Amino acid sequence: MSSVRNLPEQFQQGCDISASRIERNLDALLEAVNTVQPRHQGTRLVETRMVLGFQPSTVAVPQSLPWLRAYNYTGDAANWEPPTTFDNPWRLKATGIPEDIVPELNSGNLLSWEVSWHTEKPTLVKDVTVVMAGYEAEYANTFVYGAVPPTGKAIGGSVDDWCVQLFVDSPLDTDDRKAVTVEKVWTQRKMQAFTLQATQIAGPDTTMQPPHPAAGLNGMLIRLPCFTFIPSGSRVRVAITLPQYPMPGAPAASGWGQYPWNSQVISASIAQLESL
Amino acid sequence: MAQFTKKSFARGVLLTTQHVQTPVDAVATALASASIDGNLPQAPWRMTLNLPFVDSSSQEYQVGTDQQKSCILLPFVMPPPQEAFDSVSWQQPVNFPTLKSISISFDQRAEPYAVTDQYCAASFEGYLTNTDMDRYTLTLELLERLPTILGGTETDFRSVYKIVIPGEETYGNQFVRQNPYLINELNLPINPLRTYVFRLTAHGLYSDNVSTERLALPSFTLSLAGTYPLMNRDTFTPNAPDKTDLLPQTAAVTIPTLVPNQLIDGTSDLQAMFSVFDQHLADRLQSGISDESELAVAEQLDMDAAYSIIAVPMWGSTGQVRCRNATGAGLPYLSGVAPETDPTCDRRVIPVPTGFTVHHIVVVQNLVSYPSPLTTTFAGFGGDVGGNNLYHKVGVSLLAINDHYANQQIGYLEWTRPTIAHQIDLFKMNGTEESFRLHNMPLVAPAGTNNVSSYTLTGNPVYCGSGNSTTDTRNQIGQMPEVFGAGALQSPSTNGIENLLEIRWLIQDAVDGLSNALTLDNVLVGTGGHWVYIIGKQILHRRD
Repeated sequence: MSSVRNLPEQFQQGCDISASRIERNLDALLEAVNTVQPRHQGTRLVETRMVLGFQPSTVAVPQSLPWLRAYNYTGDAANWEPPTTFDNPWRLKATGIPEDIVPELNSGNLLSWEVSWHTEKPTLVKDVTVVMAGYEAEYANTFVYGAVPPTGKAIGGSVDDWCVQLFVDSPLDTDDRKAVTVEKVWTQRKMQAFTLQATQIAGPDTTMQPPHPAAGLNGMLIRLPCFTFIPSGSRVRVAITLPQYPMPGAPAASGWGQYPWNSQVISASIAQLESL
Repeated sequence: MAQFTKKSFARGVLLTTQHVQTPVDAVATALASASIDGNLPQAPWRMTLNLPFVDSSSQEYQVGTDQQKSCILLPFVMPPPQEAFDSVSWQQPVNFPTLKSISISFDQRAEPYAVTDQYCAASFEGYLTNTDMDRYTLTLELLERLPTILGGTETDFRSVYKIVIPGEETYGNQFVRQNPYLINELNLPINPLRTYVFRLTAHGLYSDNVSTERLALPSFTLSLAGTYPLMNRDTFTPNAPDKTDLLPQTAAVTIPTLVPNQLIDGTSDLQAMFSVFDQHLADRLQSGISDESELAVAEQLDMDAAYSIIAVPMWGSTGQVRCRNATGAGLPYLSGVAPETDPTCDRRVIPVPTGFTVHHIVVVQNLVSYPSPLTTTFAGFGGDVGGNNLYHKVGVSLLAINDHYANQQIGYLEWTRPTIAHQIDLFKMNGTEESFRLHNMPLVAPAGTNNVSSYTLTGNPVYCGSGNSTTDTRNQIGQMPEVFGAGALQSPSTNGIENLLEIRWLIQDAVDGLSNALTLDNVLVGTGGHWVYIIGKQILHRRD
């Protein structure tokens, strides 16, 4: 004889079978199906999605916003009222800085595009996806190291000097970046592992309307599964970080070129699962 | 009112088996037909608007009333699903989305300082400056208006919410900054047939004093969260898995029939009856869809679709572009030589939202360009000033990228000034210059199958979602909207294995060119860029 776990009364041989016990079970059953509680629901998560887009200008010296330096120091303080002290010199953790970049010596830098939001209820970040469309005349990133590669890298080797991370501010010390929780970080990964297509598709792309003036979609599809629980009242941040190698070697260091934000069209997306 | 009721077991009344059998039979029938209502809570929705930057040029023009001064405008609509959209009598739908909270954020490099923009006289963009942080005081106002398609005038707005966020206290405190800044417990009803516009003013970003830095709000993000009642998911939609057509998946629920004076032995008695229901509760009541478009083998819950809106920014990183600076503004795929008759295009590629049914696609054309002589060098207003051959072409498609590369169109819209036929709204924030046009993108539909369940004629809702070897056979789908060529129903070219959604926005004037000298102040891309809103139902997420 099976026992019941979600209803209050058991009925078995030798026990009292009173109307009040039967009614108690019946009431519990009807309440359970009239007002289904979260514990009785198989699915109660809704996927929501935020989208970011950055198609760089093709002018010679392009605008760099929203790409900001990951390292805060006096070397890139404004002229008129420069700050002299910084609370968070390294505002991003664990970016895996390439050896050739030493921002403290003004020798290259890391550039980050950070997006943030405040969660009111607990949520799950399902995935972070970054599509980098390249291999075009205008956006010519090849995602490999160039003729003068950084130290320890081979000419033609896949770049592995980029970083995507998901982090949450400390609830107790919200603006101390040493106290953040880095929930997910992807760094020092070979970009070629994320190649969209084995064979590049030549353009123009007429497989949908309107036809795209350039090639079919070539580049990198970086889909990073997270399934990370975010507590209620959290300040969540996602940062995409690219390397800017010191000049004059930068243009030949890698497919990122001199202006790394300018070498590909970026579409980024963050999916969350939010509870009913 | 409760879905299931029973009579009380009153003292003195003879208890019969029907007192128990009748209500449990009703529950069993509902379980077996996937029609448990369950009085589930309202489902959440989230819409996030991200601008790569807000710079000082958008705040330079400070002449006239508050409504006439320059600002950032972010319009949106939240129409009901097609089955609740009445474009014949324009009756309000029963359910309104509720706006619960707004998160406002930007990147200030984790310091209590401001960030410079590219219009600084003496610093590079993206630098930190220890300026008066009250220059970061933001005013965010939510305006509501009756769209012109419903007879609204172009200049009428009603303020429904306004907040001033003080810069020094919010962003300049060394120890605690509220970035992101959360506004919660709003509980604002969003009228599904109105247009809403966020107006952001941050006039402190701009300074005409050359000894003062000009500032930016990098990666400015508004994340709106709210609720809407759960709905039934759509069935038999184009591109839906043929295996289920998204119909409720049911399985018989067998309960014993009670017999008077029966010995309790657990096989066909009260205990056995309650055990059946107990097992369902222990297994949890099922609904929803997996990442591979699989439904549960047996479902019990009736409603499992949430209202959903995806805001896709287009051309947001370009800055203001008028015909007068089209050559040299860095628009890709152009020759660099006037008159620029080639097309230029922006493209977003995002993961396909699995279990999403597209009901409406709203295209938001940004014409905002205020005078900004000391930043962008535009002396006068920009707007829609002519150029009858200037095309905007916007498309949305499913995209399969794997062994099989293919797009499957789900919506398309193109227009020139003389051929605007799907306009929802046109408004002038300052009373004189056109600010935004909102267009309804028709969904694909074979000839003669359009419906009236949107602002203008459109196709039936389209299912989006990856498939596996059992869910990749899909219902047939149209090839183009009827007004743009229709085409017969056929199997989707993505073969049910779409993994991405592609959105394109192409701008071209093949006759006069994008740098048309006769319409120099025609706005190709307004401040903050264009938007595409993909609106529909998101089926609850089920893990396999």
